[in-house]
Amino acid sequence: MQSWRIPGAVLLFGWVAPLTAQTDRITIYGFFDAELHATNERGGPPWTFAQHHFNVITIYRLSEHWRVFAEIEWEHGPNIEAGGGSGEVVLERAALEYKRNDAFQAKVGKFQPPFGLYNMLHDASPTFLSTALPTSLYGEHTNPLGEDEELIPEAGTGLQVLGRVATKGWRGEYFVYLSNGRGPEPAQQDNNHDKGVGARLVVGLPGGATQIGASYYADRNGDAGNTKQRLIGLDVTARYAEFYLEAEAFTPRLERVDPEGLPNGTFRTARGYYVQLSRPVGPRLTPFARYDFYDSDTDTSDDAERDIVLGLNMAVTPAIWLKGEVHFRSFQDPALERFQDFAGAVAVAF
Amino acid sequence: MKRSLARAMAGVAFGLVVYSSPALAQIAVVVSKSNPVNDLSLEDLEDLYLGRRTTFASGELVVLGEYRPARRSFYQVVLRLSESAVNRHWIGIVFSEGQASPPRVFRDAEAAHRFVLSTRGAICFLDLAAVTDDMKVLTIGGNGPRDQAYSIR
Repeated sequence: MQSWRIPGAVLLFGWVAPLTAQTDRITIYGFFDAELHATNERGGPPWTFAQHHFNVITIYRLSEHWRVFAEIEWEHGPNIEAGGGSGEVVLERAALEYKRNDAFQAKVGKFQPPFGLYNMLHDASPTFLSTALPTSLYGEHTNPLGEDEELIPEAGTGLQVLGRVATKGWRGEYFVYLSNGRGPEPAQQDNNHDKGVGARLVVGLPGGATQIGASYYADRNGDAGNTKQRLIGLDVTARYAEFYLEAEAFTPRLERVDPEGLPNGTFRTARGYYVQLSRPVGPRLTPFARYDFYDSDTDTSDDAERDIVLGLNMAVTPAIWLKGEVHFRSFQDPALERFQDFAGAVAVAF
Repeated sequence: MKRSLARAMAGVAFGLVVYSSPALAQIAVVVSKSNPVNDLSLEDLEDLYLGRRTTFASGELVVLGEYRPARRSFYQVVLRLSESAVNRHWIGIVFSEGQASPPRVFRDAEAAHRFVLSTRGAICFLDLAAVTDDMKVLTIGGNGPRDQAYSIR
């Protein structure tokens, strides 16, 4: 009897009174955001509202060393109907986690691959200042089949080992993982023999103000004709006085396909980077500026794009943020016109 | 009459100074007396309250507590972060599958007191005036809250 009472109470009251939903064994968190987008791009879409995320994270503590971490996402207000509908419902993550100590942890299941500063947080808009993450690394780009796709998979199903150590002011953090990689059924059946392999190493310098990271990911992308893909990235965060700097640089290497759509053994190399600077003004306001660059093929000279972002983040309460930003987009290709986007959002963590 | 007016004004001025200067209040970091830890460095505290470490040196799991009235001063001194940035940081830890649990928030000293005494591995910060004899006050970098060199105030 007791076994269903606690989860039942959590489900009933968690939505309206999250603090009452916390028990020693089950913890529920989540986030919600609603956005506004407008652009002056010629032929662009009309300005619009979007209810982007409603995600619920549930952590089931099985013992001191074991827990299950799960996240369900309702994206773009799903209205699912047979044969159609809109929006998505996704089990973003579900993994059994083992923690021996801070230095050694392991998980098995579906997880968000640790790559760069934000891949593990790519949906969690309350955790970043802007409405949209840097397009260069976290946006969609043309894959070898000519379709738009993220450079890093949003999820991986497999095993991960991670941990953190600290000594004499230095901090180190590591992640190593093996997954099915991308494909038509990535959480059920790998469609090729090459697994997705990734690693991330983070070093925190003494003083705690500066952190440097390096990330690696490689797989044979089952969503892009089983082409080999590899991505290497470096990142740095630094806090000086009130200023906070975030920067990432990365280079993807993508196998090309022949006219039949099969991998042909030659590769295209891309590169990108962004630098973002922010500084709080008072307890609630944080203006920020970002320079974001992506060159989809380093062998050509007409396909780079830039996005300069000026934005403001305002903490309305400790759990609610208002955001507004303007993107100034420009292109190396003279045939493409510059344009500006506006994105605004309210993001809530609970 | 003049003297009593002057006294009243001095009293009001003193009250205003005390009321408007919460940063001058001493903040003590407390644990249960059964906890073997006696001293932490500022870096230790920063690691614990940023979720970088989840255990004491003894290996015991840390359970963080925060006394809301002292929150702003504590985080400004120990983490050098605004309250908003601390909130965002902890949300990031939870959403990125971090193992550390955010601090439990206590709006009154009595609740914080109960938490420290009844929770294994509990650590909390409090106004020094609210500390009772049944708690252990930690030294920070070897200095107690009444020492000149004590850094959390």
